[in-house]
Amino acid sequence: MQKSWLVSVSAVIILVQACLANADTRISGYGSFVAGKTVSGQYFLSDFPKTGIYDKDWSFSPDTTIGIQLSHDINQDYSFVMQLNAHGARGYESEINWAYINYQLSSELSVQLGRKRLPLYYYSDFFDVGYAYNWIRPPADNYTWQISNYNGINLLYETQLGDWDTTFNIIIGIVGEFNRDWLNIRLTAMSSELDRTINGIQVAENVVQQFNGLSVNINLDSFSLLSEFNGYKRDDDHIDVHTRMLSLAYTVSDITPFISYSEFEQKLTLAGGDEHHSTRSAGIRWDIYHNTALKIQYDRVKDEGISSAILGDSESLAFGIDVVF
Amino acid sequence: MGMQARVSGHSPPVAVCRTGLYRFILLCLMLLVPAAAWSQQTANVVLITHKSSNVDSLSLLDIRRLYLGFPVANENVNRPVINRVNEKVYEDFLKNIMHMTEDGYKRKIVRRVFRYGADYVTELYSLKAIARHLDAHPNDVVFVAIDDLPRIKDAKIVVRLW
Repeated sequence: MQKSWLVSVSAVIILVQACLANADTRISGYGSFVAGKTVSGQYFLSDFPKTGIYDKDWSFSPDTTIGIQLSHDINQDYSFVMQLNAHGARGYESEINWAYINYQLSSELSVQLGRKRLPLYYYSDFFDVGYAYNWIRPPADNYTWQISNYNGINLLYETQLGDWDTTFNIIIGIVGEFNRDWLNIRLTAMSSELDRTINGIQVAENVVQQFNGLSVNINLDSFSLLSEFNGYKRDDDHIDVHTRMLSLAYTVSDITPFISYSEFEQKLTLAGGDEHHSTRSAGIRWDIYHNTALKIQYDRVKDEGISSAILGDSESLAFGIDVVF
Repeated sequence: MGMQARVSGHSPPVAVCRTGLYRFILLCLMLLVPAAAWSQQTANVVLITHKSSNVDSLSLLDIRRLYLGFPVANENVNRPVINRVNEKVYEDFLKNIMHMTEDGYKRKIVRRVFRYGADYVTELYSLKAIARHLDAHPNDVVFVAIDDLPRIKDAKIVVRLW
């Protein structure tokens, strides 16, 4: 743990020195400092991939995250981006989430090579940047995919189609995002092969899996409606999962109250898997400064899985402060 | 006759009253129309750069892309700057050019920074600071109310925004 902090602090010092030494280098960062506890039930799983769990005692660990990002323009066409993170749910050990070289082929087309976040879900790319959304964390029922990063190459095409700002990210599938005034639509279609080894035993080899997602977001002056629907299928072992999320928010001055509903439903598998849980949430975001937001959120989880129950029903409360710089 | 006299005796005050009402409505309209127009939009706003800059023109589409952190085809232009001297001009810029609220714009930029390593857009709070900034970064662009233009030394208009 101490070693990890030492590595993080050293990395930050190197980053800052690099920035001070070069005008083409930028440093930015974010932090989410969250305290929470369950008010009924034993446990609340707030982050599936990182296993962030609240219990009856106040804890800062499950949702607290800090990150620092270095961007450097090597020349007019090439740039380099690196992001270092530490999550409370992982004992604050430093991780490199992003480290890639960007080559700008034209004003609309670029290629990235290196380590990036896997852009499966709408909030995948900036999951850790709490300031960028209303909730304390994106709805946990939706964000259950265990792998959040990939090492490889992707092609990014950002253009204008009529009145629509559009982005196509071609990776092991395609992610298309379409923006027009108050409307934002995002589509994901990805296919890959799964190889899995548990305790040295190969349990899956070349198993084809398919992920599809749709997000429709409406942002009017004060009102916003956010939605996300995802489906994941693996025919070989009959895994068929559907997740959905709907959130409404209304901004009055600097204050944004919101409500949300999210659900994870897995169709009964041959092995008897029947994971099914949903969360109703309500909360308030208060933008106290141009780069700082205070948040409070209440979550009520209903765990309906019988053979694949997760952590049971619960109610929980969390307070947080999000900053970006 | 008596009736006529009575009618005619009552007519002038009604006519005066109606004329007064029309005048009052007309006056209200005269006052309201410019007020409504003023409340909807600020005075003329232009996009400027330094007079030594090679940036001669930019389409509204490119301006929007630039302020969203996207690269643009015009290689001469460097970075955009947000003018916070006049909040109404800033709000109207977001509404007329970016087509989004301040909250939506800020979050979009944060996402852009942490998704693609983009830069935050510099915000400046005085005309002096804008003039100094353009001196130091001649190919940057900033939107300003045309009334403020004489106070920014060595500025060149790239395009009139509205």
